[in-house]
Amino acid sequence: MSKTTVSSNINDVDKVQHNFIENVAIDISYAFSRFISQPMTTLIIVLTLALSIGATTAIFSVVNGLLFQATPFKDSDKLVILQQQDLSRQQNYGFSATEIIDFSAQSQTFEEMSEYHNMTFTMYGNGDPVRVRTGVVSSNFFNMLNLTPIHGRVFTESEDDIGAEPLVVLTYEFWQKEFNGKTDIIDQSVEFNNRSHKIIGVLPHFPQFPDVNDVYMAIPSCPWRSSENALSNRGMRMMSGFARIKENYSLADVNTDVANIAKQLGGTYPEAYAENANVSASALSLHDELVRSSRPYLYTLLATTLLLFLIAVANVTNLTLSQHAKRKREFAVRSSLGASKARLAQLLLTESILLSLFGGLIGLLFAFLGLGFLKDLASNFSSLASEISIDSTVMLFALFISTFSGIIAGIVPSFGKIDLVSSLKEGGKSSYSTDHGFLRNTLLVGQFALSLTLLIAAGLTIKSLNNLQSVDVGFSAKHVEISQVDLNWTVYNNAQQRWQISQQILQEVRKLPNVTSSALSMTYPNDTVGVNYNKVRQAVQLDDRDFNADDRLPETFIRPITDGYFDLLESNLLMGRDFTADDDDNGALVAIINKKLANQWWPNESAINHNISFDQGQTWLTIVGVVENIREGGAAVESSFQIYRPMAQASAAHIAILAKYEGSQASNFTATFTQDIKDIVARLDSRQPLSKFETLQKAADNSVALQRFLAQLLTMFSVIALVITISGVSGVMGYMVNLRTREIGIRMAIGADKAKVLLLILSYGIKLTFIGLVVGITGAYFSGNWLASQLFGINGFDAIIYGSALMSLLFISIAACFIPAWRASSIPPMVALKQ
Amino acid sequence: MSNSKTLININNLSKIYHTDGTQTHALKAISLTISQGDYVTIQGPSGGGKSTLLSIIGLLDKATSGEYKISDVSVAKLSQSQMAKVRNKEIGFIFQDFNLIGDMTVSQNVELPLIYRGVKKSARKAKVDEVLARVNMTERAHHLPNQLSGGQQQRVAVARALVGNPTLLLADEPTGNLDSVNGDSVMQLLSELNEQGVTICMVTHDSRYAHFSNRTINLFDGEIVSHSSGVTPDDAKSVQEHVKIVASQIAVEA
Repeated sequence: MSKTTVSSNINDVDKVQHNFIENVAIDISYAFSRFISQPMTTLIIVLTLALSIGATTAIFSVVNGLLFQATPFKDSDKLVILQQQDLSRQQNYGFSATEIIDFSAQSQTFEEMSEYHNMTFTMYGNGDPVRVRTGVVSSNFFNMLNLTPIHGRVFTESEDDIGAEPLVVLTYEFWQKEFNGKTDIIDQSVEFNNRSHKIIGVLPHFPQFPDVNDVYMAIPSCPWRSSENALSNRGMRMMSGFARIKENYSLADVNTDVANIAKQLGGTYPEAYAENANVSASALSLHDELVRSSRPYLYTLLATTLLLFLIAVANVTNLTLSQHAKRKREFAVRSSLGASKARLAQLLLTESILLSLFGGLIGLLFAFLGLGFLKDLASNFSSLASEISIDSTVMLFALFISTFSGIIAGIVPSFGKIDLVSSLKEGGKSSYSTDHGFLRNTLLVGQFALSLTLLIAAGLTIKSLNNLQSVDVGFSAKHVEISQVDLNWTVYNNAQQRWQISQQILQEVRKLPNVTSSALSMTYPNDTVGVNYNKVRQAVQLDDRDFNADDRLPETFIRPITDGYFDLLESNLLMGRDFTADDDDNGALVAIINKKLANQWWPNESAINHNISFDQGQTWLTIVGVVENIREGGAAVESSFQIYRPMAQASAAHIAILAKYEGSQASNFTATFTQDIKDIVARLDSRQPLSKFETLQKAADNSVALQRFLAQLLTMFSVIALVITISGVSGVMGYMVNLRTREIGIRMAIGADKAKVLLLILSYGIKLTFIGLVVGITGAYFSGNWLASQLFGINGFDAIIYGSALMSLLFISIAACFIPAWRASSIPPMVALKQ
Repeated sequence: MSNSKTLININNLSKIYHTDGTQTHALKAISLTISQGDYVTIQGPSGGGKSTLLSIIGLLDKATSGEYKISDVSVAKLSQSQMAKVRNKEIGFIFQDFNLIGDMTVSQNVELPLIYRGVKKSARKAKVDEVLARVNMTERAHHLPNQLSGGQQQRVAVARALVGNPTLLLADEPTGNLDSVNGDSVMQLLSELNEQGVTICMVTHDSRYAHFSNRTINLFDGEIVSHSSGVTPDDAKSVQEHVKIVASQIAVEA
């Protein structure tokens, strides 16, 4: 060997770089032999990663679909929903036809404004009559959302003109359901109420907002929208406004712009507004509105799964450290043969990333399998649920977190220094403390801390759900079947007709066997459709005080009901009486109010026999009863102010038929009820369709779907975290026992008994657990406070939940430490000393 | 000792271990040279510093002070990465515990130094086949180490040490875990390699095998207490003949 040779070897440009791909292939091949020779370790690592990556990816797919992904509409960040407000009364409202024209003409910040309102029609001419949820929109609505029909066309601008031919386009779902996806329906006509409408197109699937409709109808096709009143009355604000922001303008610009226009219109047309109204308008991002209610829950879930992922990464890193420690001799041999530190790190990284990718792949499979379940759950609270998918973004995310975990688990052991001489001689026997002991303990402490945080978060979420379900909502949902009927308002075009058919339906329902009580109502608790109907917008005049038009009456609703409604719901009548059959259209006008309204109006006296008027004294309603507060918007939402009126005196086109079944078979009556109601309505009016069937319990369950979704998933993630932590504790303690076997032998040789050895190992594990739990309490406190601000009825620091979580983790830790501790105490001293 | 060019030049080299404030002088002012083609045995009692010296010569460890040159190039202050490169290209190791990688076959173990050197696959295969044939292990190329006897494992280790054509072969108690028959076989192999020009530096307890070398260095308490120029020709001949007979028996078994 010459001087030149050694010098050139020292300063050699590493040829290994030239063979990078081949080296990776060699490392992969070697990694596979290792995985096969270490099946249990490989399985534990892959499963740990698969569970955490699967959970994180699945939740990310939901968050991505609902929050991160732009809506499928073109430039959706430019789409806004417009609304007007009376700031002095804190009331929001929509737009009238003339206001839409004014806003469109005067705005400087948005390109165009489209209008939308929702109606219910009855469709004839395609088999049985069908109740059709209909969005009535201006022709630019589809262009604004960048929706291109999959068949036919959408409306043209000229088809917005009053008097144009009635046209509809079908949503994809309705087309599939009612027309079996047939393409020859284009240009066919169907009847909507009493008018023939031509089907001109089929829309692709898209997330609908603010309502899920079956069809979309052009403006002139809607009898209400094309009526003289709607066209000329500036106060008929039934439409929502959508707009697309111009290039170079922001949401803030639009807000300023529309507020100015509203103020100016308020000054120009004061008669179109309430007295002393402080008129304004604002714009909301369409995407923000679509996800507003679910955003905090989704962020909670994502944070939770990321915690779970971190627990898994810590666990896998710990396992890899243990594996690496057992391979010291191998790495020393490789090093003696010329492998550089970087080359060894490459080998570790290759193995670790490969394992992580396997875990990620299986995790992705788990995510695929769970996707349907998550979409079903998410559909209960977001119309964007259909957009949730494992798309390329989600796959990239899975790849990213898999690679990340692989890099962390692979790189951490690479930082350790191998003593080549001792490793080559003795295989690198070392003590626990010198062998990444601190790092190993830190990772374990981190796992405990994160697991505790997760466990407490799950506990708080479950408690919140329980609190929600045990709230006194003012009614009982047990065994109540519901069917909704949207009367064809062209046929039933006056109060008398509506009440007549309603009364007939009720009479027939009351004849049904096993129905113990029944009633009709315009809406019912947790009814997602009718809950906002009949909101009182004007001040109510009371008989014992002067009328003030500025009196604010927030969230007050008029609920037409029949007698028996409160009995059926088991809602307590606190004062006075229920409605009777005598409270008909010929009787005195009466009302029942809820306790909240009674306390508002007459806090110090009985509300009974007081009179109220909605028309400034022209007609008066006598209050005949006070009923307990019913939470109609869900258990988490305080009861609104309620005024109940007899349906005979305040008929409704949207009718809910409620029937209570009793007896041992009560839970199986849904099918019977459905058929019975179909028969009854068909007998009374064969052209009147039914809208919807559900049970009151199902409606109540749906109202807490989001909270249940959160609680179920958090519980599942906590269980996974616990399993991972148990395996982590067992692994680390087992490894520690291996390293300390000789020490244990020495201790036993000089007199330590089995109990002392057991205690030695257990106390080590318990010490680490305690440190982890102390750190975890801090994390849990912060996450608990955040959860308390988002969830219903919980305190961020709940002593019972904290105590239970602490005790559970402590117990689990002791149990996980016990097996290695017992093994250590059972080793004969002579065997231990020979280690 | 041959009159060839100096390969290893160690001057005033010391190694001190620091443990909890205590200093242990493993090597004290060692100076020695090894020429190309030498067969040097390092002997001495346990704790005398033999393995420490061999580790420093093999660039597995660094001296605390002193000068160490390989082919007149100072290697005392090389980085870990540079040391790895020199180990890979210039030095072959044979260990008492064989130190084969258990998850790799015989041929994969032997191939490893060439992979780290960046040799192309086709060239690697030819070289591995050649070197396995040289140690009579061709038939076992696809076996795992745990399927081999101790002697066979050490022959594989020798093959791995030789595969990169090192100019210096370091053997640390190469017969320490072998019975005498297998030990003799391995020593015969080393002797043949030395005859082919490979410089060998060996640590051994077994004074019988010291006779194979042409120089013996005795270490005691970290210091060189004596140098000897090797065995007498008659001693060497009788031992080597005995070893050749045993080696031929092993070759038949293999």
